[in-house]
Amino acid sequence: MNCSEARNRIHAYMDGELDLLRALAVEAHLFTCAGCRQLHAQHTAARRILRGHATCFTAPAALRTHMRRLTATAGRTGDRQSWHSRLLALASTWPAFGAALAFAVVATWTVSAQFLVEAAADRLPQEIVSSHVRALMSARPADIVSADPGNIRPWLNGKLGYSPRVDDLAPDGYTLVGGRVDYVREQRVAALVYRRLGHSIDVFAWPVSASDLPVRALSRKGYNLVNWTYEGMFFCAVSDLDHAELTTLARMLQRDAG
Amino acid sequence: MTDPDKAKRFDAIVLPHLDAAYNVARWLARNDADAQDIAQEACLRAYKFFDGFHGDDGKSWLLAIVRNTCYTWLEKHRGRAREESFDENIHGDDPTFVDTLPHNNPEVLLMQQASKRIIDTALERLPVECREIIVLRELEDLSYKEIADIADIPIGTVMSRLSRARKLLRDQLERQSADLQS
Repeated sequence: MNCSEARNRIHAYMDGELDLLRALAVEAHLFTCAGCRQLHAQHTAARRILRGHATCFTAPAALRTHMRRLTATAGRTGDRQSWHSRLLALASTWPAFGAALAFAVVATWTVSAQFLVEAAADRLPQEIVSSHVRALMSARPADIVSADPGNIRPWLNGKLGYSPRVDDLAPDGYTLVGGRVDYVREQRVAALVYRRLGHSIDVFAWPVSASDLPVRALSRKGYNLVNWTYEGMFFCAVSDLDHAELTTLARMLQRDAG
Repeated sequence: MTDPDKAKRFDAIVLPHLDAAYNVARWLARNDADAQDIAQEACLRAYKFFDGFHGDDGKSWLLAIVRNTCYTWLEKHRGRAREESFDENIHGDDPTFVDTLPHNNPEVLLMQQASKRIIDTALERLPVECREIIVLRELEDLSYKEIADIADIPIGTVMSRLSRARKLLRDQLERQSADLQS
């Protein structure tokens, strides 16, 4: 997808009006194109400000009373006298708003890396679960089968030009099975395969520019996901194990080596 | 349909969307008095034509009537409504405003008031069809399909209009924040 196609679809993408394939294509483009990413971030920021601060007017009490009276005395078309009632209810129904200084945000249009990751993360879980399920059904969930990080890292480096941190965590109950190259958001990414108590865990990883993010957990289609960033890599662990066990793994993959 | 049945159905299907109806009317008319007249007239028309409504999306149906009523009204009062111009009177100080805010730190108050005023003003300054699509999409959270039904335009037009409206809105916001800083 090129920039002009992406920009044509950026609003429909933001509004959740694209089908999955098109949304992924836009997402992939945003991931690689700083210009379109910035445009997307600006539109999203403007929308957040608008939704957070623009006045949502509510019907004056008099209008409500009038319509109730109309339907209560069903059949009469209602008197058409003009209105003189004041908007008593209006002032009290203004939504509370946060202390964010909207104009400062508007003036600077900052594009935060965290925002980028979050926006792209909308559809990502779905895709990661699909990749995990594909691997579960495949006869070979790992392309390289080894419990030795010293074998897996050079193999991934050779295939992808990078390798995430790989730890053998067997003493902690997470056995390293191997690694493979998977395909997420239209690019090749690293996937590590761990096993715990008979359950398979995939840990997807690829480089990102965002700084370290805290661990976040969510669920899709009966699978649990936990994602985090560590030393310039985005990680997402997915499994049918519960969040606590995935979070433990996430912590171990972030602790100091040695 | 007997009258009591009709009234009951109307209560259940249409009246829950009274706030949305008023919100759309208020943003299109840009002042309280006109918005009340428009919303009331639209609701009365909705009730009158309710026998012919067999769908279940009361919100879109009511908003389509509100919208038509609005445009008829704006057309009729063209001279008075001063479409596309900006009326400072609309934005005069509202004495009840400060008292009803949830905070009483004057600095926080001022900031909130300023940001809200900026956003509302930017939206009010958009041409009516842009304002309309932003209100339907962002404030009423309607889908493209629902907007297409309400405004009686193809989905492609919803998309192009929304894209134009968002661009104009961003320009407005930028201009206003520049004004504020100068």
